[in-house]
Amino acid sequence: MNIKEHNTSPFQRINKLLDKYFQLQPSLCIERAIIYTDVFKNTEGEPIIIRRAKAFKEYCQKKSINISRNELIIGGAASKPRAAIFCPEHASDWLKDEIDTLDTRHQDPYEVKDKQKKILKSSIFPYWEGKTISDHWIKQIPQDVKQIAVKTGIIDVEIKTQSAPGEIAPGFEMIINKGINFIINEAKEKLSCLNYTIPEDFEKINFYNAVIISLEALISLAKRYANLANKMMEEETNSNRKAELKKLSKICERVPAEPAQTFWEAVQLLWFIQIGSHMEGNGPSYSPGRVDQYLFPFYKSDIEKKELSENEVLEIIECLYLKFAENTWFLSKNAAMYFAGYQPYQNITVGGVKPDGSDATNELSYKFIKAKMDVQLHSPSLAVRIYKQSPEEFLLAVAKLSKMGTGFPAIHNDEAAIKMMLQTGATIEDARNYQLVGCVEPYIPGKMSKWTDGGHYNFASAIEFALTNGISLMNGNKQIGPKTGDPINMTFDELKEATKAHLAYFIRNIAIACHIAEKLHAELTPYPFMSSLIDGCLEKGMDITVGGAKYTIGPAFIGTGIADLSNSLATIKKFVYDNKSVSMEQMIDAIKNNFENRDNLKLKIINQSPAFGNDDDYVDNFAREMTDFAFNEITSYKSFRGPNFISGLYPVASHVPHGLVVSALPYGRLSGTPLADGCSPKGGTDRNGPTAVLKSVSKINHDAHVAGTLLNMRLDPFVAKDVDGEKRIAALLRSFVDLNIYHIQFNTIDSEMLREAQKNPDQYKSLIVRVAGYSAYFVELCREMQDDIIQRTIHAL
Amino acid sequence: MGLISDIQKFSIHDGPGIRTLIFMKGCPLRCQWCSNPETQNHFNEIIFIRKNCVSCGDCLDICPIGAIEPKTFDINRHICDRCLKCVDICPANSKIDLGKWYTVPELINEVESDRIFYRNSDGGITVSGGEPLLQYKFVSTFLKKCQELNLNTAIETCGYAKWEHLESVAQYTNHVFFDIKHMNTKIHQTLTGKGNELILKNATKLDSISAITIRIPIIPGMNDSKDNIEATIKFSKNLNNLNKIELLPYHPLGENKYSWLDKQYKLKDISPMNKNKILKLKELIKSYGIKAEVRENLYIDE
Repeated sequence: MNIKEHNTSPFQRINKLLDKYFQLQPSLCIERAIIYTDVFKNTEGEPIIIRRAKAFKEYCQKKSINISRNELIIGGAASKPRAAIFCPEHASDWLKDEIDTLDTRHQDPYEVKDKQKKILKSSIFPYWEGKTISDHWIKQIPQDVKQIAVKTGIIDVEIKTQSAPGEIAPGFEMIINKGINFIINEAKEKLSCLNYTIPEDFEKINFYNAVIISLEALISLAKRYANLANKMMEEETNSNRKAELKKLSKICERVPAEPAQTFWEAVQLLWFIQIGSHMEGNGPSYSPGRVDQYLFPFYKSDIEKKELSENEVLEIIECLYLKFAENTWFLSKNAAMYFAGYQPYQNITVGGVKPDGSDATNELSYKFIKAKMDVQLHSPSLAVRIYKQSPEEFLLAVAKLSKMGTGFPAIHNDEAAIKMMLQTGATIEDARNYQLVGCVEPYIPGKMSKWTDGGHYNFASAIEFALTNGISLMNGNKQIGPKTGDPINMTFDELKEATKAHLAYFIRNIAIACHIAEKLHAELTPYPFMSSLIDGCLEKGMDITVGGAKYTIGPAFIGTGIADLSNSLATIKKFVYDNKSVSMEQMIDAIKNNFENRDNLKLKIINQSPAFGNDDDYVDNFAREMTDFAFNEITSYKSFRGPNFISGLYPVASHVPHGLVVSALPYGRLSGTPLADGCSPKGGTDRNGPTAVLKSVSKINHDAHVAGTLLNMRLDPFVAKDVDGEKRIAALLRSFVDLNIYHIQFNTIDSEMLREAQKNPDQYKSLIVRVAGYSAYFVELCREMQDDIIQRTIHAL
Repeated sequence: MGLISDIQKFSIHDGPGIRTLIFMKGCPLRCQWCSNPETQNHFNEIIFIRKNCVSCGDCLDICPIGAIEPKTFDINRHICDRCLKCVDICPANSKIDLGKWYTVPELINEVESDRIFYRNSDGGITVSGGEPLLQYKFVSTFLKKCQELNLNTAIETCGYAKWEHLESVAQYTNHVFFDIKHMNTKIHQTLTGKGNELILKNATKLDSISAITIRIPIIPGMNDSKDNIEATIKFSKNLNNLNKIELLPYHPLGENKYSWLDKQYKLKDISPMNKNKILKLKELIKSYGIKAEVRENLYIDE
């Protein structure tokens, strides 16, 4: 993670900030834990929402603050940059168990001081014992649900018991244009109409009071930064920096209380809201969304008035990006494997259509892309929206960034996303205004509360269990799934039905585990600060956790490994049922023995099985059938807040931990190895190039999975090269839109990946060497020739 | 039916846009630098990729006539009658039959699947090989159908065929890529096994019915002299329907395929492709007022 060499920006200031950034070690921050614990001790018996507002206020008033040299956007959620905010109210048990290994753990370690450990052990952990969401949840879920939902990896629901739900975007457009004093006044007005003698008004009174306390607290935090800037200004000797600090002090005096008047103020206001969100609850995916839309009027007016130059605008954006990269989402060792890489999933979105359906692409859309090329940090995540009439220039800019090999931007198709949003009951204007939160999840800015990650399940376990009569080979041969019968004498259709029965069982268990977690957030951790910024809550006097938002949807259940399941079914159909060259006994025996000493069978299967990703209906139809089945099951259950659950097909990083608990699979995958991610084909099995991948993936009904779907695609270096390469990517993107696929992002294969391909040829079977009039696969070339190509590729890209 | 060695989707160097490239099996020439030697013979042919072999011995056991060598599992090409039993049994993708027979409807079905990509990139179908004209009846019927279905068509030809055959295919082709390998027929004979008279005659005739892109493979020390290229340019200049001249720099990527077929690769010690030389040749073409392009290729050295 800690790369010393970083990309260079055209701005010296940014390069200096980047130098500094890459020297920071992620560390643990317990300021919030200490302050929240104190406030909670002193407010026992008061309404929970008031206690949380008071704690938030205390935190805003007491937290450490600092301003770094060169910064144009200031403020942090934790006591220092890249520090993880520990929120004990969600879960503290895990940290109690892991505190001594936190700085040495394999995935996402954090520095921790002995003094911090001492405080945690003496006063934080003991207070929260039995009080957290996690503690309540584990006691409240039924025994049989616990058996499959806790630490089996087959389904995973714990994440929402460990942190704030996040996955939300305050109404930035409204806040920037009105200021939060406006919301405070609205809350006061509402409050004046309520009456303590009316029982149902009581909760509302608490809600509005909590809102007022929380918003005033954020204003007080901004004033502290204004004072600090002012103080630093007085001590500053460099006249340029002095002027900047003076300006920053004035900006923080004004925002977020009052509406922004300039681009700089608007961005600083955005940042205060962003850190407020992280401070109220450590969680994923607080996402500022369509920055190119709501910041545009400020940009335009500043440029016209010559308040800022085009370069100064870009510099402010790059400063903002550096701030995003300071935030992190603090997770347990197990959860960090599902959400690897200190990723807070803060998403910004550019391009697409406006609420009235006209083209939304503007100068700022390009600037946010350019800034990503300059700064290239892991956060914020940059999402772009494209549609049938996106300007070619925009697609070429997207292609150019894609070619850099950072995995950004995530590209989303308006045609599919708008349909998804309409399914949630949104108006057509709201649907057209969707943004992304987290990785790939469509969301209506400032109007929605949607757990896009209510739980994970894996498709691959379903076929394993169908072949083992519900026994988990990787969980000590325990009977975890239902008994669906001995597969030996089943017809293929019966086997498929057994697979579906297991899928249905997983989903039923997630539904139970999830609505209980939802209920506990409502009871134990309301979010008055966030609720005040979401349309509907203020009007109804209700927190987001009890359905206050204009659109409450989800939670969503996320399926991983659809390619593994489809490939497995196709393999069994072909070899056991169609050409009968392998018996069911042989197949099950191979799986139980992880194909050991069954090399010929394994090779035959790997080389001859139909695989998802080759535009072959024989296998692709299973992907459609099984995802449709999961969709129907998921949406048949009701959530705590009322609406039915929703479906998603994106893995984050869960294909790795899920893979750990899945036995060998019929199509030749070995036990414990990663599953395919999202809707992507299993690496190395897509032998017909990118067009066939897109065709296969298009057979899934993306618009049904309204929480989002994900496709990662490799681009080989022979395709992406030069200006022609960008045009090719643009043509692929237009086709992706036509195919009604929802999301795609590219990994460009570089020389390092080609070396990887030499080591693991099975994973890279699809890599085609593209030269005029010639055809061959990279992994089939002799070693010397491969080395030669790698050498040449270094120069070519 | 047509015999095809490979169908490559998302092809990007043989005609405009994103294309599906069809490699027809069989060629009248035997160019020394051929990078697709598996497309030379017009019959099913077994390749043996030794690095994939796991020495399971299944092929040895199943071969009915003892054409598999014990220990090495090499194919004794003198006695092998291509019954393909070893191909069917091989679990390791080591013995492969690189020839598949298609009917026109089957092939149409195959290329239809990428229509969206052709449409968004102004791409289409390119028939290459081998030599498409060796199977002119099949190719002509196929391309005619493609055009009826509004698919853009291209062929890559060495030009060595009866004029009637070329004509029957060219009438359904939007882009013809026509190779000229050497202007001197004797050298042409040495390099490819045939003289160039028929080829040049066909190019001139074709000019009256179709636009042509001339392609010159640039093989160091064999045909890349200024004199030869200049002669080719002058010949091309006389064509009324010339689009451009494309230079295809030599690359050695076909070399290991020769060992798969137990054939000798004759260009082992060829000198590397020099970028300056290629650019000079490109400028030379341009100086005649002809559009010139160099096809992308990793194997051009600074």
